[in-house]
Amino acid sequence: MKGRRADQFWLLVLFVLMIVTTVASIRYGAIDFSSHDMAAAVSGKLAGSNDLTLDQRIFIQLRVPRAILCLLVGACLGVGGTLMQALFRNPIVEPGLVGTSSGAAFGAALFYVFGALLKLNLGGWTLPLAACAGGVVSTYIVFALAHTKHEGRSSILRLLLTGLAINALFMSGIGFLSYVARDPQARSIIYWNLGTLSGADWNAVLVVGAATVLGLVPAIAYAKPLNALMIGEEEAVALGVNVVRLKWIILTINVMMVAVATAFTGVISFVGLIVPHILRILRGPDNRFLILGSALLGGTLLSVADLIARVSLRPAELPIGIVTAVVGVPIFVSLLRTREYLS
Amino acid sequence: MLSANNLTFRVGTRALVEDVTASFEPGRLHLIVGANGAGKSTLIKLLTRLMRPHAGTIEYDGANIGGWSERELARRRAVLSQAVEVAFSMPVRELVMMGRYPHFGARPGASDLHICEEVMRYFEVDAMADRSYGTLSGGEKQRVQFARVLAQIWRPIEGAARYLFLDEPLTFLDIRHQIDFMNKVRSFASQPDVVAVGVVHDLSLAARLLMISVCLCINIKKHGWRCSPSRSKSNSLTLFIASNQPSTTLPESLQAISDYL
Repeated sequence: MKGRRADQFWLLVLFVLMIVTTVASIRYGAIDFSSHDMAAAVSGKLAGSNDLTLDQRIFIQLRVPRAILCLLVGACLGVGGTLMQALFRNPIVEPGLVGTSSGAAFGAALFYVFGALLKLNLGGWTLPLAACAGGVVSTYIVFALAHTKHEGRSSILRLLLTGLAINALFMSGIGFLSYVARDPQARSIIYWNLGTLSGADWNAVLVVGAATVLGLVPAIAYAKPLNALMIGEEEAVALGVNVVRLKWIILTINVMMVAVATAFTGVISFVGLIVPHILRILRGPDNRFLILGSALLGGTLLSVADLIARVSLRPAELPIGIVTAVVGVPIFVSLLRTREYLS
Repeated sequence: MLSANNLTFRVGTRALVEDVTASFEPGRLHLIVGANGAGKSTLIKLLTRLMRPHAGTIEYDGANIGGWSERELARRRAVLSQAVEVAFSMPVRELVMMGRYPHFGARPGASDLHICEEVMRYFEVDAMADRSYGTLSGGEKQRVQFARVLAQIWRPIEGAARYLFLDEPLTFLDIRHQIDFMNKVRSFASQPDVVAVGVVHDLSLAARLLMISVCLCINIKKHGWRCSPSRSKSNSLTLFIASNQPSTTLPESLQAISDYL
């Protein structure tokens, strides 16, 4: 079996895997639900019943949106990683590289330290908005600084290095803010930098869901020109790709997906780095497979990590950023060792 | 017919190519030789529109290519660069298929698949079609890249010429494959609808190739560019000599080549 049929088979496998982990993720947690409880809660809600039990309300208002948000955020990070690695032609790139996630973290830190002071209050939206704005602003700074009049061969490299530099700057800004902050705020900043899905609700699902769809559709459409970029910028131009336009489109898609996802969950590292690699080891570097595949696998991996984060210290929970590496590294390293991937 | 009209390209205030006018006819292979820094690769990049000139125009079949879309251009001209670095290794077959990208939408059609098989056989890389590109030797990689580049313009186009450009194509090949490759390129370039222009910096290599073919030198001129007129024994190959020296005498090695011919 080869080519397109094999790709479709693998996508089906990834999809089934995602469904299985999502069901597990809905079922287990601080409280475990039996399949009977779950069916009762869903049918009660669908019937418009107002006298749901407390457990049923926990299920509908917390557990289910959290599981779905987890899938969406994982998908955004996985796709972002695939896009950035393809664009930069570099295997060590993460989706937040162009300043997006450190800027979002800085925005969140500003909110924690000064939010009460400035009496800014947009309810539950304040923190996501602050983070998203931080992510977009910092990415814009990176683009503006990396932009030169002549779009030369080195422009993508310049973008990468400018991204690293601006990331360092924002990390030191976050360090400063958490140093001067008093304890509850300082703890919040640290906690947010490790990522958490505990704030999940249906609003978050809607916003991140829209960003996922809006990013995924054009990303899939640009898979072929991204493939051409694998053999070099100049070669891609020779193959008929408008590289300058491709670059801006891909970066815009990535910023939207990563800034919005990060805004609701905090900084979740590592997923965006390893998901594309795992799929490349299994199926090769064709972006026509990788982009959809990394959406599915990213969602799956983050769901597994979130499940572990919720059940390991029941009824308390771990920040998900602590778990993602613990789940991802063994899979990643063992795959790296068994295949002739980097030869 | 490929025409370059008064091309100038500068980096800062330094002109790498200044006011070059030249034309290249179909049906033969044109080689541009010259010392490092003579502006050969820059000229190739301008002729292929990988870079845009600060002044002057380039015409394919009499039409200015300045306003063509990337894809429109890619269906007509193919470029083999000096060293292609592949970011993520993939099967040879997929890499060769990239040469067909300008010709199909989402998925390759039957003719694209067929052309890939043909070029892989032509460059004798069909036996490694399913191997990962990263595991190949330097020379094998170069041959795979040739196959990819020729796949792009393998079939004639109705009512239009095809343009092939080679920038230092022989770098990683051993002598047997250099000769073999040049023969293949020359036979491809001898088609009446193919305009082929190549750059070779190694004069001894150029001389060796000239022994198996023969050069005819024509019209390249203007500041910093000149041409060595030499006798023609065959019209299959044209040699341009690029120099950044203002003197009008040929360097000795070039004179030796031209004497030999």
